[in-house]
Parts: sequence; structure tokens; C-alpha cells
Amino acid sequence: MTAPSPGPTRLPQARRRRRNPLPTVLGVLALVGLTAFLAFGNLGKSLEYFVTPTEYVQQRAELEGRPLRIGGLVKAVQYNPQTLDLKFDVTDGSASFPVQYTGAVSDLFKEDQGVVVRGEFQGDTFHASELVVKHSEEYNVPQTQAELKDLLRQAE
Amino acid sequence: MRQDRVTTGLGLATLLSLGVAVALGLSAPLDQNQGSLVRLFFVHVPSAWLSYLAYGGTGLFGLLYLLTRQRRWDRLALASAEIGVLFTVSTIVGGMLWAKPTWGAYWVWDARLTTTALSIVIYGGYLLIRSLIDDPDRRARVAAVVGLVGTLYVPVNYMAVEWWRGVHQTQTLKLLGGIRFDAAPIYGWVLLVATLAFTLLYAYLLRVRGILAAREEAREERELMEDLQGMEVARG
Repeated sequence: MTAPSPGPTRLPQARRRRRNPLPTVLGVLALVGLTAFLAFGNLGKSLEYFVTPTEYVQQRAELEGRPLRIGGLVKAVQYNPQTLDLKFDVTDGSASFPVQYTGAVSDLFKEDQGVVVRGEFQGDTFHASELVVKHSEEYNVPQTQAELKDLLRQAE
Repeated sequence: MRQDRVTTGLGLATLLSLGVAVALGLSAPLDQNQGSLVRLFFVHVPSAWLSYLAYGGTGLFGLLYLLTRQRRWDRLALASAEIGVLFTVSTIVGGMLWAKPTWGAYWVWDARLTTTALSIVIYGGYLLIRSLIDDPDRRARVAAVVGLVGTLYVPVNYMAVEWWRGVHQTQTLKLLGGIRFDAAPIYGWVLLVATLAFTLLYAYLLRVRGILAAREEAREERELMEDLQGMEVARG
């Protein structure tokens, strides 16, 4: 630049006048809000989302009586569609606990499905207040024509 | 700046490939467990891919700026960061729509979802820092460093499902330890087409936003010159 430069303090002032502070203020507020949400919304305090039944057996002394999440496979489902009472066992093959839950569940909930429940142990029974059904990374088209027709009927 | 042929051509190619992807996605057979929900897979995964690509671009263009000190790399880095945030939001929205009927919840705080939300903080911060610095060269320098560090998000987010136990499923297309695609082959083809279409979309959006940024910069410079002249007159 060959133009004669003005005093260094005057230039920023002249340019700052045009600037609308609103987007910056809103941006800062949004970021602070999001960070706070991330920091306090994350109940688990750990990056591992759940414990397995086997881990619970091993760490029973620490975990007993505390709200926690347990993850495993679903076995022995008993569901009453009228009262929405749901009972099943959650297992990882070596340890297993009975779970009680009340409420509607995802259509994908079935035997041998992965599931994560949040709640508390009362005795040996896990009383769940929240139930999330896991989906595996495998997606497959039905193998037979009959299965396909079933699926189409459900979709309607 | 006139309308250039490359942008138009790129836009048409993007539109065409997106159209093909939509047609393929809508004609793909239903999944045996999730039914028609599987179609979100063809939007969600390419969206996430595009956001990775864009965040990687911000890092790369930032690095190129630091090496060459040419302002155009900085403009592309900015464009890339904005596209990345946009498609992270689209990934999250698509994922939430899938998660509610599948998992039974729109959102869970597992490692994959939490780190994805963090990327909005990282790149929102990147854009915010840019808006706070007036001097263009200083702004480009600081942004390049933030953008480079931010790129760390991509491998952490990708590996989050492997490193920590969570609800989000692991990769369907396994790249580590032998390539394997754990889904019906037809889904693989649709996914491939959709991913290519989204890659073109990234290139197109990057170019358009880059041109816009160049115009903004030209205006900024012009106004600065007018200010300077105004002051000269007032002083003289």
C-alpha cells in the first residue's frame, strides 16, 4: 500500500461505528448456553453411557442405590398392552437382572434386542424410568416374499 | 464478477446426482426391522460425511493460508466452516427423526451424539472469533490456527462409537481392520451414490460461498478506502 497511512488509533474507530453488535452478542449467548447445556445435561459424568450387568455385579458396592444406566440384551419379555407394564431380563450372557418399566416402548423392542435402561435397583430388580432401544449397524432387506408382504402391510 | 461456467456446471451436476440419489433412495427395498426408516440412512450418513469433509476443508485451507498467506484460502476456510455447521445440524436433525421411532428418544447423551453437539460449539466459536477480529490478516491467522486444531473433532467423532460404549450404532461400513459393509448390498450402492452427490454439493456450496466471501471482502476494502479518503479530506 502506497497511500499515506493515517494515525493508527483513528482507523479502528471509524470502522467500528458501522458494526451491529447484535449478531456477536447473540452468538456469545448461544455458545455459552450450548456449553452449559452440554456440561450439565450430561448426567452420566462419564463418557461410557452405560454399565453392563457383569460390571454391575463386580462394582456392586460402589453402584448400589445410585441411579445408573444398564445396557444389555432383552430376554423373557412380559408386556401388558393395557397397563403398559413391562417386565424383562437384561443380560450380557454372564449376568442377568430383572427389569421393570411402565410406558410405551419403540416398535423395535423385542427379544434379543439391545437395550439401555436408566433407573435404580430396588433389591435385585431394576426399576427403569427411561428405556432406549439400541439398533445394530446392520441393515438388511427381508429374505422372503412373505416377510416383505408383512412389512408392507405394517407400513400402511 | 460474472456468472462463471464452472459454478453453473457444478450446480447442475449436483442437482442431477442428488436427483438420482433421491430416486434410488425412494425405490430401495424396506429394511426388515425399521421399514421405511432406513431411507434416513441415505441422508444422515452423507450429511455427516459432508460435515467431516467441510471441517477437514477448514483445517486444510487454514493450513494453506498459513503457508502461502493468500487471502483466498482464508475465504475458503470460512466457507467450509459454515457449510460444516449447516450439515452438522442437518445430520443431527435427520438422526433425531430416526432415533425417536427406533430408540424411543430423540436424543441421548452418548459419546457420539455429545461430540457431534460439541462440533457446533467448536465451529460456532470459530465463526464467532472471526467476527470479533477486524484486521483481516490477523483474523485469517487466528482462524487458521483454530480451524486446524478443530479438525481433531473429525477423528474423535468418527471413533467415538468404538472408543466409548453408547447407544449410537457402530460404523456399517467398516474401514478399520478389513473393509466390510454390514448391510444389504443395495443399500451400499444407494449410499455410494448419495455420498458422491453430497460431495459434489460440498464442492458447489464451497465455490458459491467462496465467491460471496470474495465480494464481501472487496466491499470491505472499498469502504475502508472511502473511510481513509474521508479522513484525509477532513484533516486537510
